[in-house]
Amino acid sequence: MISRELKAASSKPMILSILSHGESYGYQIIQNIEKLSGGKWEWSEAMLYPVLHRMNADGLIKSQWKVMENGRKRKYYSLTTLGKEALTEEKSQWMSVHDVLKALWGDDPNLVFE
Amino acid sequence: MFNLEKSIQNWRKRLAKHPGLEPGMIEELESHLRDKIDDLVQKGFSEEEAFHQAVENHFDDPEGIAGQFFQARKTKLAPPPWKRDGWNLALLPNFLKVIFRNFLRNKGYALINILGLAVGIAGCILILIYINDEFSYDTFHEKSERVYRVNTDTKWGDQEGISFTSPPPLGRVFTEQIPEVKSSVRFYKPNDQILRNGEIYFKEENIFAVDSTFFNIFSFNLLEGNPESALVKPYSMIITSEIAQKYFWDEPALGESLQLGKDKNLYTITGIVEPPTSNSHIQFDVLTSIYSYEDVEYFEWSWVWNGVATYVLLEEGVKTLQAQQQIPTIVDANLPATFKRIGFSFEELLDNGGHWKYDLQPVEDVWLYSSKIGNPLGGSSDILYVYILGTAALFIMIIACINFMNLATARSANRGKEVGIRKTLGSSRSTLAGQFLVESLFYSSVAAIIACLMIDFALPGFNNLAGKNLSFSLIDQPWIFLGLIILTVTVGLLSGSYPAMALSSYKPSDVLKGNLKSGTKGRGLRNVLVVGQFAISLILIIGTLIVYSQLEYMQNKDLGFDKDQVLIIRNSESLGTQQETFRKELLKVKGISSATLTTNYPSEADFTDFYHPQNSSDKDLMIGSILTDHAFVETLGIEMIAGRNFRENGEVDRRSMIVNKKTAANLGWTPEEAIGKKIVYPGGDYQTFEIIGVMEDFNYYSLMNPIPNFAFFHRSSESYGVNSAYIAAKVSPSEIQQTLTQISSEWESFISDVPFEYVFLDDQFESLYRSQELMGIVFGVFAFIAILIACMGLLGLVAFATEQRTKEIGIRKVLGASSGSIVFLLSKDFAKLTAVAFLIASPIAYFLMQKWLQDFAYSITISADTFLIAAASILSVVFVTISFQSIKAALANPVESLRSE
Repeated sequence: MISRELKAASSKPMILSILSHGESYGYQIIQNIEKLSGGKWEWSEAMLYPVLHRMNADGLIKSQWKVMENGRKRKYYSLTTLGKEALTEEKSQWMSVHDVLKALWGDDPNLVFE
Repeated sequence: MFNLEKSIQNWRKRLAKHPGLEPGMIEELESHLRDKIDDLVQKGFSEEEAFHQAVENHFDDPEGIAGQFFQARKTKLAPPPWKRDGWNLALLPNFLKVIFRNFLRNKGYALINILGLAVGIAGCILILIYINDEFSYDTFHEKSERVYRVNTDTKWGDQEGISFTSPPPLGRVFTEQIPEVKSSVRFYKPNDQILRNGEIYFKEENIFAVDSTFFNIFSFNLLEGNPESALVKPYSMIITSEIAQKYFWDEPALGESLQLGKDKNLYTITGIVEPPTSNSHIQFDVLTSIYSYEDVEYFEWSWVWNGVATYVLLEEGVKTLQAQQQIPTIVDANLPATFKRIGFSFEELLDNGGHWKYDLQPVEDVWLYSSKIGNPLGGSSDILYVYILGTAALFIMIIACINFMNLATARSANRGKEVGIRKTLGSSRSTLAGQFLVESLFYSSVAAIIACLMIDFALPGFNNLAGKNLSFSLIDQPWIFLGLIILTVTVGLLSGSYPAMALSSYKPSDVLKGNLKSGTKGRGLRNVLVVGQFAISLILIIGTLIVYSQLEYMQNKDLGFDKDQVLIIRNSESLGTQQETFRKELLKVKGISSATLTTNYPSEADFTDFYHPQNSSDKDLMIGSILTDHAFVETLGIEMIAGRNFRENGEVDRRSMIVNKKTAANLGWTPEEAIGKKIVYPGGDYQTFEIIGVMEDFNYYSLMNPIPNFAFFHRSSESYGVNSAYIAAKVSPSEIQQTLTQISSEWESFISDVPFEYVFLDDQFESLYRSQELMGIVFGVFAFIAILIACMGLLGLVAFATEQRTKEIGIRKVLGASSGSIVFLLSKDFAKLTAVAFLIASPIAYFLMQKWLQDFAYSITISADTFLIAAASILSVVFVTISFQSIKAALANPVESLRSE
């Protein structure tokens, strides 16, 4: 299980990243995250939609209602330019976290603390 | 059976109920839910299982979802809007804007509202200032909580009552024998009133002789002199700075001397005192040492010569009751001896059901609780008037508040749309209630400001009416400011509470769809309130009418003598032995038909004592009397019914008396039988007087009192000593000024150093009813204010009702209704309400006024006319008020109102 705090912190970069692969809607986003994490990430609807709305309001993503063949409506989200810039920024931040942790947890015998 | 569509519908409804979830969000969530269920069904779950699994994990928890939305969207400083209680300060500017717009759009209603409230608040504050002043009397004395007046409560034969007087030895004995009594001071009112410094002389009314302990007990501000010693020596005098100015101008007065009285006794000025503030029941100009007067010294032994007023100062921390309990012992120890000395038996008095007690009355209570006891040192008021005024204030406030509520609820339909919109935009009920309370607070605040201006404007007139010197200043009198704020807030909350609750309860869907019929809400309550207003107004009108007819009755009722055109010349004792000569000179003045010498005159005072018929000493009778001459009967037009008047040569009537019919009857005689009977006066030297005449009963005092036993003795009898003397003259109404000038110059030729002072007897009688007259004025003023406010409210309501029925009126006119019938239609409802108010008010007013009239020995009977006049006047006021609007509506061209349909 993934902790609440980590979920909250990572939801934004994850959504940005998923949408960088093309537009998507809420249900699909949850499904994809679940698939990618091998079932470890379980996002609840109650958590996802508020974040989407907030990002929408902040101008990172934009939304559009689309009518499916079966007549059902879906709200699709896609990245804005601002969102793409934010993703680049997020990426570099998360990569730095990744680098530090990777270095610490690796078995490099030369790692010395001064 | 499980129905998926229905379950989704229900789920959706649950979410929709939550104020934090918007329709768009819900739609998105629903689409999500359906995708999820589809997937689950494909995986082989049943629809029911799929649904339940899909809504797991808080997906059917609206509060949880809304909370997440809110957190993701907002900073965490404020709670979510649907959870906010009351209202947010941030909304205040918006509230004020809406209030202001409403004000501008409905100027008429707003003005009626504000003016009504302002008049109400002004009336209330005025009364509060007045009442506060009444309660402030004598609280300024440092030891006021320990100072008491000793009142004498006696029942001796038929005579019963509480008096402010007490005997001279009482103060000393109380101080010596009751440990709780620390000190005492006596007041004696000397007859000497002419104060003189060489050529300057005036008659001073407020001269009192007091003990040297005066300044130890009362906190009057002695400007010069030693408070301990100033009044110790006989013929010492303390004068107020005003008197010092009057007699010595700017010269130093301390150590100088003034002459007092006809003997021109020289008094040394040992102190200058600041004039008493108006809120003291002790009002003096001059104080002298009490041992300057022989009377007081002479009667030091007597416990029945109630010639002084005594005040005692208790020790610190003792209870009144402790001191009070020891008084009976002192009565028992002292009264019997005095009774024996004057030839009576104290035991007999007690055996015959009489009593003799002394009560301690707190000095702070003297002003308000002495209406039956009296106050020789100044005036007195009556707690009854405080109650009446307090009630009037409350009534006025209630009427003003009712107006506000009525107008607000009547117009609620128009505000309903605003409520609908606000609720749609997310206002909670408490926010709306808050808004309407802010609105009514705003109105009451504006009203309070206008009220202050009104008070400022009305205070001089009010002072004039009430005989007061009240001031109104928010800065100098912080309690008024506080009172004003409390009153404003109370009125605002009170009158805003009903509209706030009623309006905020509207369902937005109802008002916005127009399902709410305008003005129907609260109609029942409105009618009740209107009836209440008019009932109060009616009670006040009926009260005013009855007070005035009682006053008129008292002023016009035949007193048994003719009080008109009777001139009373005061200070006649200064003429000394020349009184008779002066009287004869007066008769030569043109316009004077008769003149008489007398020791007192009706309405002023008399001399009352015990008498009994010769040979039956057990038949004691209290008889009031004056010493006069043969001309009194003629001058006052008193009717003789048996026997004869005094002879012009009074010497032959030295042992004669004339009694009234009542006295004869009380002694068991017809007027004719009474002639020739002998009466003994044990209070003097047991002289015997023969009844030579019986006169018709007349009211020596006001009609508040029943006719007393009364008698005339001839002034040559000198059966008792009275220092006062007056000359009463019947003058002709024509050229009265000329007659007065002539009398004045005659007076000056006789006695040049005493001022010529006169009063008219009818004026004197009128002044007796001053407090009743004041009550009439107060009733009248407040009835007027109440009606004014009630009519303002009515005007608003009628305007509103007419507006509501514009189309109905148009249709009626098209169908042939006359303007008259339209006016009738509109007035009918209000006339009905007035009728109901009348039915409620009449018995209440009857009961209250009947109680008031019981105070008078002679009173009018309350007639149906009074009620009819009151009803007619209020109906006509109501009709005039209504007609402003209804006639306009009735005359309007129906095309105007129907065009838009």
